[in-house]
Amino acid sequence: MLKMTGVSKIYRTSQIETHALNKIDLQIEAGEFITVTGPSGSGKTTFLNVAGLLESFEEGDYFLDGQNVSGLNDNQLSAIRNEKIGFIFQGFNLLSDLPVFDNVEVPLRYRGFSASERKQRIDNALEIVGLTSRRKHLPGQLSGGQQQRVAIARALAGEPRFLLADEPTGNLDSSMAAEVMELLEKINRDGTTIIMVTHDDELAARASRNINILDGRVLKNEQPSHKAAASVVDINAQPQQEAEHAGV
Amino acid sequence: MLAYNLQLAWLSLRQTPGLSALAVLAIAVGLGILMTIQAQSYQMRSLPVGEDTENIYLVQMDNRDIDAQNIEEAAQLPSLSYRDAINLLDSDTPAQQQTIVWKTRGIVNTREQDINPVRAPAVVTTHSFFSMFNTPFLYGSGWSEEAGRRGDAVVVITRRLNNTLFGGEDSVGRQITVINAVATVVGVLDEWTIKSQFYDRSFFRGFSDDIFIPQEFAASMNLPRYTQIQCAPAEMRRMAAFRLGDIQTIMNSECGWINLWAEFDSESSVQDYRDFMFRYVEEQKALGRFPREQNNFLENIIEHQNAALNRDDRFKLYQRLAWFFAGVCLLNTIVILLAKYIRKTKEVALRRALGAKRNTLLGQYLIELMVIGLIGGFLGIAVAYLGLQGMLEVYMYGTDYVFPRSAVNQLYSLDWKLIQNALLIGISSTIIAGLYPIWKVCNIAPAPQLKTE
Repeated sequence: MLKMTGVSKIYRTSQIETHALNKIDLQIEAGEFITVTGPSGSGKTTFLNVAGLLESFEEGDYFLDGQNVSGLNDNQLSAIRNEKIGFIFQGFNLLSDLPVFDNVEVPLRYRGFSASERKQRIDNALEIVGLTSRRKHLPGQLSGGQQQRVAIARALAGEPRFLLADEPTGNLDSSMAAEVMELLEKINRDGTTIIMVTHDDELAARASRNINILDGRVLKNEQPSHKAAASVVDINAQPQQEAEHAGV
Repeated sequence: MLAYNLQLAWLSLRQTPGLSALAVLAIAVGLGILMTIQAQSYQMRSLPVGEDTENIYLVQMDNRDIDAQNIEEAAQLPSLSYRDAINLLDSDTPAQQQTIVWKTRGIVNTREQDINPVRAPAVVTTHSFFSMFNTPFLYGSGWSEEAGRRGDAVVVITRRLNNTLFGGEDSVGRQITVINAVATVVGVLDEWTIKSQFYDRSFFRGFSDDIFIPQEFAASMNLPRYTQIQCAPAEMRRMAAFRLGDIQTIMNSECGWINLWAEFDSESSVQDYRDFMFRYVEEQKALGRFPREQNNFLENIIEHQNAALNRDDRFKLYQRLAWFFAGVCLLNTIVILLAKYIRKTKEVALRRALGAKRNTLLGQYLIELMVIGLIGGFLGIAVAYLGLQGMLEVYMYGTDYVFPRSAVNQLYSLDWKLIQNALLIGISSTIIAGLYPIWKVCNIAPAPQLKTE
């Protein structure tokens, strides 16, 4: 479903070249809940941005839903982002002047849905995140946890294949973080593939697979040990091989 | 999507009220100053008198000395000599009708003891002046062709003079004294709104003359010639005699001082008249006159009006200053809009992440620019209105309030076409000013903007 082969991302200044991603090889199947961990500056967010088509890459091939996205133009990438990818950010990134309903509506507007279809999708998404009653509230009138749930509703409304979450609980206290995490797990159980960057080992352990990145390379690509024993999912051996191939 | 973008534009204006207001203000001030000047230019470049006068042409022929400077523009060529003007006036020409004009002025009085004499500028002309220029009459009419030829002591006065001398009553049949001549009023003009005094080639704004006097009567009474007189250098020393001496002196000279206007009913008549002028000059050459190569002009009122405006150095300076200020305002607008849109980088990044195409966002911000331009345009029209009222005051003061405000008001007014142009300029200049800022912000890489700081 998502396959990267030898993907490299290099930041260049006049004097230095930084390999933010260095020949990444990995594959993520539909329905997985992947956590991406690693120390600051290891390349986690760059990986997420490349996976979410927000950043280009210099080398390698990237197949999303079987489509090679390497040579697509900006409009095509925008259309794929809109249809197949939902983003959840640490800082929520809601539009502060728009009420909850309008925030969730933003990606649907760009999709060209009719007003009735937009309304139905927004209602569904808000129901999933439990914020139906807050549809007319402005983001500033909501708690941090509620704002992140709005962001999740916005990501869900377009029924994407992937949810890419960059430390979605990073700005939340533990109880709100737990709520958001439970929500993400529920969404994943309903069939949406989730790739989540996190610093929190405890959250990482709740995923079906953890990818650990260091210096732009995949250091580990494995199922958490406590899940491995009880796993009903046959973890593909290929990612581990790829990690080894990447020099880990 | 348009309604959505308009809604977002309104929200965006509210998000950055200070910068939005500054941008609107910069557009309004620049546009207002520009429109203040352009409105006058537009009004001055349109027909100074009714629309159906565009077929009226000024007749000019170069009868000057052989060593006189070459002239290539009609505006620089002197008016006709008396001899040529009368010859053409009395000839059977391709023109529908013709009239001559020269100016005099003097003390005008009535026989009423309690009315003070007034000093009045006057037009010496023929009966056809009133029909050619569609002058409106309040009482009576112009004099007849026969009365003109006989040299009858008749005059037409303006409503303004009629108010002064006769308290606004119907004065047809009453007598007035013009300098040393007693004449009977045969007509009173109603308010005649003309943009400039075109008929004497002065192109002064408004209309300040008070009396119209038949040519034959003016000549018989030897009225002074307070008109533009252009003679050969050798004859300039006789200028006092030309103006105040026996009128035969100037009538017999080669000096140019009479404006001959001819009205045509078709383009072919105009060409026929040109041919007629050519033949006339050839005939005169055979008589020893017109020593120079033929240099005749037959240009219509609007061409002369435009030439007069192009010669107006003060107005040209105003125009340059207006464009300069408009340019400065446009540069300011660019900077203000840059500051405004740079603040939107995070929103743009988010919208891009959520699937907005770059062109979609450019379209959204273009609509916002149009809204800013439209508001700026409306405010600019208000500024232009105030500017024009100010310019009108300055002009009235500068001309010692010799004519009523209504006489020049039209030159300092905005019509629907100007308002439409102002809005178009407002919108287009805002788009020009905002194009770089919105292009820049829409091309910023989204990923770094979405990171939590």
